[in-house]
Amino acid sequence: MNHSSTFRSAPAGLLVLLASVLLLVGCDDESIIAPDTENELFTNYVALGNSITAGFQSGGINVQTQSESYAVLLAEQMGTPFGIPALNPPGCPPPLQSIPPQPPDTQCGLRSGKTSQVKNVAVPGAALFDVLSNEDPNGPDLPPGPNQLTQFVLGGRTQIQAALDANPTFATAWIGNNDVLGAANAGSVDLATSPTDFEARYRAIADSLNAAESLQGAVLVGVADVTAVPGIFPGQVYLGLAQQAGDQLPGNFSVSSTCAPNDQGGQGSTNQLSFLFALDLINQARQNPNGQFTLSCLNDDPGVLTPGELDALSSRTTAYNNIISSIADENGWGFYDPNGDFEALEEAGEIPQVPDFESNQPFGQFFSLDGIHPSASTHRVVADQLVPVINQTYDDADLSRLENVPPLPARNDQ
Amino acid sequence: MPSFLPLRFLSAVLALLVVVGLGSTPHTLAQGFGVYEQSSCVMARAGATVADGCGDGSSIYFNPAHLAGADGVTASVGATLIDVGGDFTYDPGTPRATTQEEVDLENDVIPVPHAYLTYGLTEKIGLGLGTYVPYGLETQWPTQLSDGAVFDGAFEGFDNQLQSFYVQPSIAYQVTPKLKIGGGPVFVVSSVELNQFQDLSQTETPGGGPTFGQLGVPFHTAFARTKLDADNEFGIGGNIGLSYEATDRIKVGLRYTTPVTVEYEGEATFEQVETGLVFPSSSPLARDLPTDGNQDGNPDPTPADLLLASQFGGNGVLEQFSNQADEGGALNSQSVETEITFPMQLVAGVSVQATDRLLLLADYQFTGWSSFDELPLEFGRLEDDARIEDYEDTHAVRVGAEYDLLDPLTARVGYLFNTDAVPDKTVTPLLPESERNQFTVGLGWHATDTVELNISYQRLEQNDRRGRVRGARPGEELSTDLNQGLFSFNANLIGATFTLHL
Repeated sequence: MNHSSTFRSAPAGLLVLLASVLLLVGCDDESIIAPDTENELFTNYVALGNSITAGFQSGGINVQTQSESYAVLLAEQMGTPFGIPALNPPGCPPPLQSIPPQPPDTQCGLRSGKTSQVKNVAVPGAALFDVLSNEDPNGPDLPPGPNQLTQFVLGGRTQIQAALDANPTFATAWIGNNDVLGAANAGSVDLATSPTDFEARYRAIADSLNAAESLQGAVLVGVADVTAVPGIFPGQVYLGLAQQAGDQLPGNFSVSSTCAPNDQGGQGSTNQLSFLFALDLINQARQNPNGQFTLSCLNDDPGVLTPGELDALSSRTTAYNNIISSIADENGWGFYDPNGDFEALEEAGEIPQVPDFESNQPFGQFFSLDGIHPSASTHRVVADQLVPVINQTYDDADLSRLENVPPLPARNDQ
Repeated sequence: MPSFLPLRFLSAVLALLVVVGLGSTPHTLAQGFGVYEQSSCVMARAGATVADGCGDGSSIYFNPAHLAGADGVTASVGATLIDVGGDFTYDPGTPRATTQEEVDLENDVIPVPHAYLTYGLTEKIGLGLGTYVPYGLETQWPTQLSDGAVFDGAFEGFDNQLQSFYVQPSIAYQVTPKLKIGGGPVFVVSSVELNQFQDLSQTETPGGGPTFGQLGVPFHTAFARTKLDADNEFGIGGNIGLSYEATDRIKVGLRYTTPVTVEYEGEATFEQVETGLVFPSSSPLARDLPTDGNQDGNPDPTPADLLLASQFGGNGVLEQFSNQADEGGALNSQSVETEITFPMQLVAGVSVQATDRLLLLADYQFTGWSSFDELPLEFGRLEDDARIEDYEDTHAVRVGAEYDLLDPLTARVGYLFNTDAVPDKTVTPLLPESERNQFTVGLGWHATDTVELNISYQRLEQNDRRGRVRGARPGEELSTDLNQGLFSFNANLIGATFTLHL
């Protein structure tokens, strides 16, 4: 071999190698591209609340109903990952399939265990007190405290701890309904949280949220006026339902003649009862076949709401919402009061005054089979209504309205 | 007395050969988890040496055939200092990204030693004894993030060390004036240590019920810190090489290092970690506790840590629950066995003496990383487990050049590229590896006919790579869907080898 020719060719080879090196170093690797987040404001959205936010419908909850929550729909508009504490079918408890309700096959489906980070930390049954504590409350106007779903959703944390664990950049809170719903179900205004306690507890929740360094924004949702929901209706309807259901109800459950219309000697025209209260009584009857369970409609009977008590609960709700609105203003957060939309729907006849148990939607399309919890349609409405509130509150937000939302009649306050 | 220096040095090399070979514990660096920087001269050539050795004894590893024809005694000792940098960046949109986007690797500077002794027995026969560290791993990650949360990657491993010292006696023979062969058995001394957190959400509730996660316990809730440790286990393999002088300027070489399987028998220890969770009284996990002074059969709010304490022994349980410790619990110290196969290496190369002063070298290396498909774990009490790795065979191209600036002074440069062993689905904190480009420079100085010093510098640039900081949950496949962020990695290496030619 000619040494000098080898010498001349070697640098050329090195140049080719160097060129290859530069190509290798400069290569773009598409696999390293991280998924996009549409808006940093919504990087971590968490939802606090109770059964409504959790996705409870028709007296039950499972992954299907959870996926229909307004919070999930809102997260979709935000384009942000949103883990839910998915409960395996049939649910915990399973949602009702019909009225009158049939005995459930199972008491509780477990968590699927596949969610890395729960962003919907709302717990069915939670009142303000329960957002900050999992202790058993001990007081006359305190809620029943944690339930089985508290464990399944939060796993030993409080709701506020779970929310903060998610390092929220944005939060919604629709909480406070159970501070008055418990009183409505029990038929006792005294059990509703006092406005003073309500404000103290709500402020504590807001302060805790504000303690999250990551938080950039929030929207608070007003308490729904439980007296306007179709699941609280006159006692005389229960009498008709019992006659219609016949042997589909347990034999040890009955509706008292005190629930007959007022002009027939009863008080069933004016006094109202929560359908959830009645369902609970039916369940108790099934679980205790040796006992006798009677739904009664006299003023002082359990679960009964007189017209005066209904007005008092409605006024209490207004007081709550004034507090929530103030706290939202103080923090520069958005506020949405759903009651205007509910009233408009009611005035338009979309929410029946009296349930039609002949229909497969006895409480209309906007409420599920328990008459208290919103249906999937309402969740779409709520999510859609929250979009302009968020967009108006935050300059950086430009969320799109939802598609396929049932049309709303014009609100009286607009 | 100048004449004592070679003897003292020789003694030092022999001592180092013994000490390193018998298992002192220097730290090593992950590269694959291979480490090729076993000589400063070779390192400066980017490892291109299989066709033409450096004459510092490192051919014991890189190609034992080069020992044939060596003159007298050559003794070398040296080390490479490796300063590693790296981080994991959470994807935007993942919860941790809002408070701590980037988590930095916390490795200290890692020294990797080498020592070689060769002797030309006859004109055709050369002997050698060397120790080197061709495989090793060390990754140290923080356990806690700035917001106090446990780093997700700590559940995969936060302090991982794997050391393998190869001790190799060698013999080489010059078959013809152009052909040399050489080789020797390899005795491997290896230690491994893995530290990681255990996730309560994937642990069964007492009595073999559903997992805690099915009862709502959040994913990645740390409740135990686990250490798996096995020291000074042995394996045997071999290393052979061939060298052929095609012309008086062109040489080719070939080396094959066998895979070596090491079986480890060690100890697993468990330390309880406070979860802070309290199961409400309505929880199916709640117990009627005597601590409230009212043991009435009704469940009380129950700390998860209290419930778990009986799984630990006295040495591992949280102090406040020490009265709950149970030496029969599943998370007491126990035996653990595992097995790792250090992969085969096949290297072919060519060298060209382009001019009297310029030497060009190029190597291709195939490493059989596919032998590392899983890390099996067999426990004394716990159920056996296996960590899926599914590594892939790798290819490396090394090119180097050295130029004699002066008779006693040689300058070297090199470049190497290697593909990655870790597949996309198992890029984890244990080994956040990717394709690598490395650039090298170095100087060799023959201070006298007897004394030689080589120094070198290497810059390791690794392409960023998406990876995961969590494992697959039951019913979940290992896939790139689990990747949550980007691993970055780089290193600066400085090597020095001191050699005596006697």
